[in-house]
Formats: sequence, C-alpha cells, structure tokens
Amino acid sequence: MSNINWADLGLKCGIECHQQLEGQKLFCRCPTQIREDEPDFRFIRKLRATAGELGQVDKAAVQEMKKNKHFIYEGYYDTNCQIEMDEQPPMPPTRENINTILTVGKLLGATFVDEIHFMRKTIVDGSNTSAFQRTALIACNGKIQTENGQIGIPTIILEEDAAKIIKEDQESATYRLDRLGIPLIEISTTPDIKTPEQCKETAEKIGLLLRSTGKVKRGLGTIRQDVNVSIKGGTRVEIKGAQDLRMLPKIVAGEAMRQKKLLEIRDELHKRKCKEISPKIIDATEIMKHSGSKIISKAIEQNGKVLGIKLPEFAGLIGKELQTNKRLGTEMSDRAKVIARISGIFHSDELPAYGIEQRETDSLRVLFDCKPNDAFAIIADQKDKAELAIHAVVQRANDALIGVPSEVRKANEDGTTSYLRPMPGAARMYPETDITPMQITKEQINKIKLPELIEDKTKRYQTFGLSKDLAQTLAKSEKTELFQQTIKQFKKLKTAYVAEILIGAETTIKRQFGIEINPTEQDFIDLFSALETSEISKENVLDILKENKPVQSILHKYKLLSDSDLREEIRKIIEENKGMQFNALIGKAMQKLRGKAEGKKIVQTIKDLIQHNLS
Amino acid sequence: MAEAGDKVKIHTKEIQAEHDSAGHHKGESLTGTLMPEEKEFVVLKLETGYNIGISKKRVTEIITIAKKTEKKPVTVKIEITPKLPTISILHTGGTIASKADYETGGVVARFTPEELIAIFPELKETANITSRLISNMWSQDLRFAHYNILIKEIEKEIKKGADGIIVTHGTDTLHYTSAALAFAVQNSPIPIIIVGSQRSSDRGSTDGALNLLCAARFITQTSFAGTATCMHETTNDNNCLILPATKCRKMHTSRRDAFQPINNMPWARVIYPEKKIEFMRTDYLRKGNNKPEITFYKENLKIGILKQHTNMYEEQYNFYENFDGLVIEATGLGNLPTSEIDEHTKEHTKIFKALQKLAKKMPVVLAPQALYGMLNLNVYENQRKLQEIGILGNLSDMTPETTFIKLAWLLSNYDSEETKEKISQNLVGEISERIEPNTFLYHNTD
Repeated sequence: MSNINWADLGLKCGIECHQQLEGQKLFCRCPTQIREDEPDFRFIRKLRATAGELGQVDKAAVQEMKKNKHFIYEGYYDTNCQIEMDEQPPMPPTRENINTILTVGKLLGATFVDEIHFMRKTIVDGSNTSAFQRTALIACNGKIQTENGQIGIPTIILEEDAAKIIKEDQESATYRLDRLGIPLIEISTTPDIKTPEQCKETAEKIGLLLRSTGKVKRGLGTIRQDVNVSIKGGTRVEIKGAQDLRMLPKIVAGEAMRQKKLLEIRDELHKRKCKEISPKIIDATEIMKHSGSKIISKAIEQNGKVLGIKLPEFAGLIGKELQTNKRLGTEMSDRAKVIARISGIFHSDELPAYGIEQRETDSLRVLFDCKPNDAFAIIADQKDKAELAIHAVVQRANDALIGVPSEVRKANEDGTTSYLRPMPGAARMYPETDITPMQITKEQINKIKLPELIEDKTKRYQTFGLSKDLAQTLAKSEKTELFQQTIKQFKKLKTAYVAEILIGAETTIKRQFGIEINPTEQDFIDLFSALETSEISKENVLDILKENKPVQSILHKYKLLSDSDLREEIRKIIEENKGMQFNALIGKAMQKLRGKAEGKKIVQTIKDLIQHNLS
Repeated sequence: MAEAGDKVKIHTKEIQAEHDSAGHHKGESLTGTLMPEEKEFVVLKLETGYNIGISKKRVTEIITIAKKTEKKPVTVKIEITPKLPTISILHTGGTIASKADYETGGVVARFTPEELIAIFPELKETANITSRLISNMWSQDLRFAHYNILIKEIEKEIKKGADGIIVTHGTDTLHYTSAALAFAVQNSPIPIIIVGSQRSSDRGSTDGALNLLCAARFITQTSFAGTATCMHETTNDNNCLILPATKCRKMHTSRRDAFQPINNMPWARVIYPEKKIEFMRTDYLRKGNNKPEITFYKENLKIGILKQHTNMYEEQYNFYENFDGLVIEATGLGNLPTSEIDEHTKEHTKIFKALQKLAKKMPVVLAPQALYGMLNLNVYENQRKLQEIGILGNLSDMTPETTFIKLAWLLSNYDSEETKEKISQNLVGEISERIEPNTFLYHNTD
C-alpha cells in the first residue's frame, strides 16, 4: 500500500469518535454498567417508521421497516429502569455529564452553542426502545493538531448509546438494555485526513484527549470509530464500528481501493454502453428443478421459486474483486441479504459452481437471452422474498453505472467492509420535547477547569527520567495520581522504578508466574513505604505482590534482618562451616539469607567477620 | 420578516464584554431553517438536522434565503371494500394520530381517513374507515360540553349504520370519558371502543398503532356491543385488553399498560400476532337490533371530588356548599373524620355538621380511596351516623372517577330523589354485586 499516492487518488477521510462516559446514564439515574449475566426480564416491541411529512419516510427507516421484525429487549431490575424501557419520559442530563462535554469542547477550542436542544434522531433498527436516539449539538468549530497538520472538529455532540444486539434472525432481533442510554460524546472531524495512517493518528489523539478528562469509560467497546471515506470521483461512504485503532489504516486504504475499482467498473460499463437495468424478473424454477445445489433444491422443496434477472454488459465485472475475497457480486448479494433476508445469490461470473452445473448455466443463459457480454443472477427463495431480492440486485447493478453508491457499511474484523444500509437523509431529526433546552452560560464555561492533557503529562513524566513509552503508558493509566503521590512521598525511590512497578508489575507476574493479581492503591503505598525505609529489598517486591494478599499483612515475612541480627546469623553460618572456602561460604549464606538481607550486605558482613576472626 | 420554516442565514456578533478565551460567543454566520422562536433565543435547525439556540443578544441579522414551502401531505387513495364492515373513527385529540413535522419540529395531527390509513395501513385490511375530528385537545381540558358533542356524533354514526365506533382520546381522563359514554349511550347496537396512546404516534415506538388495530379487530370479529376501552395489556406490543368502560382506570403515569380493570375482569384479550380474541367474561351486550337510549350531560353542573386525608378542616367541606353534588374519596371501608374523641379532634364535630348541611343540599357520595374493594358503611359506629345524615355510597365499589361521572349523569337526567336512589343501583355494570378474588391488582405481567 505504501506505493499508493493517496493525494493523486484524492483520498478524503473524516472520522467520528464515539466515547462512552462513566457515571450515570444520560437520561435516567441508572448506572452505566455493562453486564454479561442472565437478564431478569424480557419484553417485546414492534417499531414503526414514522413520516416527517406523510409519505416522506426516511430511506433508512423504510428499509428497516421492510424487514418487519419484532424486537426482544432484555433488562436487569437493579440496573435498568422504566426510562430505558421507553415507559417513562427522560430525566434531564446530569450536571456531571454536561460538565464533561464542556471540558472536551474547551480542550478542542470549540465554540459552544448558546442553548442546547436535544433532538430525536429516528432509528428503527430496534437498537433504541424509543425508535429514536436522543442527541444534541453542543459545540462547533474545534480543532486538533496532528503531525501532518491541523484537523477541524466541526461538531461535538452529546448523545445516548444504543442497546447492544445479542442475537438476530429473520423474524426478530434481541437487544440488551445495559448499554442503552450510556452517555456518548461524538467528535467528528472535517474530511481533511489525507492518508490512512493519519486517520489512525487523529483517532488516537482524540482518544487521548477524551481520556485526559478522567470521565470516560475504558476498555473494549467503550470507544468506537466511524470512518467516512471518499476518493476523487467517488462518493462518501460511512464505515461503522471500527473498534480497534490499529485496523483504521487498513479500513481506509481498503475503502479507497474499493472505490477506485468501482470507478473502473463504471468506466468499463460506460464503454460497453450499458444502460439502466429494469427489474424484468424471469422464473427459472423449471430449469433448476433437478439442481444439485442444496440451496436451490431446498427452496424448491419448500414451494419456493428460482427467480433470475439478466444483467446486460456485466459479464466479467460481477466477479471482479473489490476487496480481499469480495466482488461486485458480493455487494449485490449483501444488499439482497439485508433488504430481502435471503441467504444469497448466484451470478454467472461464478458459475458453474456450488452444485450448479455447466449444463444448467448454459440453459440459464439461453433463458435469460444472454449475449457473451451479458451476465445474470439467480435467487432461490420464497417468491416474494426472491422478488424483493432481485430488486435489490438490480438496484445495486444500476448503482454500479453511477459509480460508488452512497451507503453505510460495517467494518469486519479482517478490515474489509460489508453493506449495512443506505446513507440516511438529514430529515431524521425532530426536537425531543421532553427535555427542556439548556442554556450554556459564560460563567459555566469559565468554571470548567481543564485537566492536564495526556500528551503534556507524558512529556512531563519524561523529564523525570522515564522513557517515552513508560511515560505514556503511565499517563494513560489510572495510576497517575498514585504515581505523583508516591514520588512526592518517597523521595529515596527512583521515579522510573516506581513507574515500572506501578505499570509493569501486574503484567510481569502474569507472564512469569501465570498469576492474576489486583493490588490496591494502599498495597502499593505500603510496598513503597517499606522500600523507602529499607525494611524490604527490591528483590522481594515481585514475591510480595505475587501472593496477591494485602501487602501490610505479609510484609513481616520479607522484612530484612537488622545489622546485628545479620551479623549473628552469619557468625552461626561461619561456625557451622568451619574451614569452608570463602566463596562457598558466601554461597551458603546467600542461600540461607535470601530475601532477608541484600546480597551486597551479606558479602560485606562475611568479609568483616572473617577478617575480624583472623585478626 | 423571517418566519418559522423559512430558510435563513443568521449573522451573529461577538459580545466583546462577554468574550472569553475559550472561544465562547464568537461572531459567525449560520445557515439553516428557522424554528419557532423562544423568549431569549432564536432557534435554528442546521443542515445536519440539529437545532441550536442562539442568544438573541448576539443576533445582528436574519436574512431570508427561501420562504417556507407548504408541502401537501401525500396520502393514499382509499377504495371501499364492500365486504368489509365500516368503522367510524372519532377523534377527540390526544396524540394517537399525530405526526412530527421534521421541518418545524411541531406535531401535526392527522385526522382524515386518508391520512389515518397512510399512518396505519393495516387498518384497511380490517375495515372501511371513516374518520373525523370532534375536538382537538389534551384530555385534561375536556368538559361535560365535550361529552355532549361526542355523544351527538356517536348517535349520528349509529343512525348512519356504522358497524362500530372507535373514539380516540388522550389517556389522562380516558376512563372518565369511557364511563360518561357508558351511561349516556346505553343499549347500543354496535361496539364503541375508546382508544388512547401513551407514546404518541409521531414516535416509531408508539403503542397507539396496536391499540387502534386491536380495537378495529375486536369490533369486526366479535358480537360485542356497547362501550369499552382498548389498551395494551402489558409492556409488550402483542396483546390488548378490552376493559369495562366504568370499571377501569389509568394506574400509571406513563406505561403502555397503564389501564387496568378495577374490581372486575377485562371483557376480552386481543392477541394481535396470533389473530385471536379470548373472551374472559360472557355477560356483555350483543350486537343486534338494540334500540339505543341516548342521554346527555347538563353542562353547567358543579360536581366535586374531595379526597379525605388526615388533619382535615371544616372549610374543606364547606367549600362545596354551592355545588350540585359531591364525591368524597373516603378512607378504608368508607370512613370520614367525624368523631370527637379527645381535645385534638374538636374540628371533627364541625366537619360532621358541615357534612350534615351538605347532605341536605345535594347528594354526597362516598367512593373508595383504596380503589380496590367495596365500601361497607355498616361496620363502624361513625359510619352508621354518616348513613343517618344521608351520606350515600354504601356497598359501592365504583372508582371515585366513575362515581363522579355517574353522579353527574344522574343529576343531568333525574331529580334529586331519583339520583339518590339510583346512585347505589347497578345500571351499566358500574357496581359489582360480587368481587371475584382474582380481580385485585389484576395485571398479567407475562
């Protein structure tokens, strides 16, 4: 990928970061606890697409309604309430959540709105019990610096997170309410990101800035990135749900290449003088009656149909790879799957295969009246579903004539993307009348104290003699307060050593001994205090932590001997081993006194005693 | 002058004195759709769909770019299916047929049959729909005059030969109206089903759709006639309960299943996904050639409801002396603070006298504050004294709301003596002779 000139390709990329906040939910007083245990209750809902003006229903909303699913919600009595069930109006957002977003706005140098208006953004995929997401624009025109220039932050938004999907089949989708209503800060950037690497850098910078507030949730899934990508001649495509920052360059590069290849397909179609395709559906059930394909024979068995469509001038293009292992045919199939809930399509560029023989393929070509440059696609399913699917395939084929369809795609784990839904229009929002607009006053903004940015903190820690990596790991961690307190309180200890123990001890013990430990702040303080007064030796630190018990309660076992006790112990060893060589004697003493005194001191004491005896 | 709905460009200024380093209150220009304004803020819908409030103090200029365009609602054409029954839908307001206007953010009510079918397309598979607006108000604003308007419209629809009537209604006082119709339209040849919604129809999660569809199905598929309500049975969007008009009540401020039967079982359960209707009682009026008896309410009647509580004063009772009737929500089996038992209860003798005076002037009827169960004024000595001075309500299990409506209806149509007699007689199912054990806190939570 390094040989691609992104500027020539006209790559434009912007991101939206969604970060969950700690504390209470945005519109109720439930905790923001994510749970994995069995839910306490379930209920069933249907959602309806509602029209802004009658007949003017949002495209994305209609697509969801076409699926006609019912939704099952699962909740917990002790961490969910009637508000998440859409059985009670929302409560106003907490002061704490508002202050957090004001902090973020200030850190990004943004302009705040004078009055916050929460909106209802229509979402009927079931992920919100209310069928809308409550969201408000808080500030505009911020900015963030990256190594390759400044990126604009046009909007900073405060909104509620959606419910988490548990399972989904053709008739229903199950969601859990634990995540619904968790406050989310959405930060979007201008499309000024020019390379895949810069996308990752920008996301990282925003993530660090958000973490600097100390109010954000941590761990997998607590920050999510949506990426918008386009190239010259292409279209803005939104890719949702990238959880791993390291995947961002791959996703961006992959989408840019996908668009490039789609434009090549478009140009080839134009060259072949391909015209818009009308959905002329042809029944191919008769030809496929004895097909060896399991999908087809099963569909026919269940009184389904095999329906097909001719795709003039598409031969060779449906099989063209757009992403790793994903072809134009895959995109047709993905869209048909989402819209018509079918299991997949077969197209002529991949046939014969999947149990469909050459003979059948030839008959299909005849049936569809295909010339050499023409392709076809077939779908085996119940008649109405198959028809809906064919329409989806035709729609996708016609989109190929225009180039890159404007759509929302989801990020897959391997860095490829799949079709999710059409790009929603802007008409999806109307005011949330249950929440009174909130004024943002100058006094409020002035009162917000800005936290030290993790980037600045990292630089400061480096001046203490910490390596950059260690400084940043520490600055990002939850142990910065403890670190600062420790180095202030225990001046004899080296700051790098303190940082290493705070940050590294847990992983070292896990790696070396396979033990998970969870020391408290007090454990660390007790440990450092004992080190400071030389009660214990550094050699014992891992052993103490490894026990995974309150440090105070086990310290006595590791206490160093006092000078006189040490002399006494060594005298005994010398007496018991009269005539032993000096080096052997040291070995003996070390073995016996390990952990009770520092090695250097043991050697010195033996030397002293022997000399003393000799003299 | 720019108006709400216009596309505008707004120039704002920096307020020097208030400007601070954080970048607040910077001058800028913003484009979007103007929303109805607030006291101190101009509200602008940006192209992203977000609304923001801009302090009026900062607005220097509002330039209209394009005037608001009136959009005609797109509606479906309805074809009459001769073999289907006709349901007449009468709207009294509430939010069951409302839609959000995404441009101005206002909620627009839709009431023509075409508009209704556009919102609830499933309706046309069940019945031919006629539909009109009777009044358009929140249910807390309804008065007796509105009952009369509604009764007249129902009378018209019955005469026209509708196969059933659905009245859409705000939920807060839905149970008052259902009782009012049960008394005023007796022996109806067709079903009159009152339907509301707890989540308005401008939301994708509205409960109104299922309530309306279940009511339509119940009307067309059963022989039930007379007045009842139809609302969600549980929080699930699957079943609705057909509840007795005089023996149901809003028992929750906001849940979908707020309406529950009181001291009685529901008439039936409509299981929508399975297209099934399960009757839970059989003592209902059947459709047929019943001759409807239609009566009205005196619009200037003054009836009060007084809730009895601890530490009451004589004035609270005297307040009603110029009323035409009074319902008192009594505690327990029907107790009022009328006994002077120590030096702290001298007020109670005064209250007793006040009650005595009221009872001479008007019907004074007790209703159970506990809602569930029946009053019994024969249990305690002080209650017997209440009966002696003419306080009514013994052996009644009517809710305070039904008692209130019944008293109003009786006073509208009978003289004082007949009213006192009929208030304790069961006329339309409002008083139970026997209360079945499973009716207490009846609520299916499955």
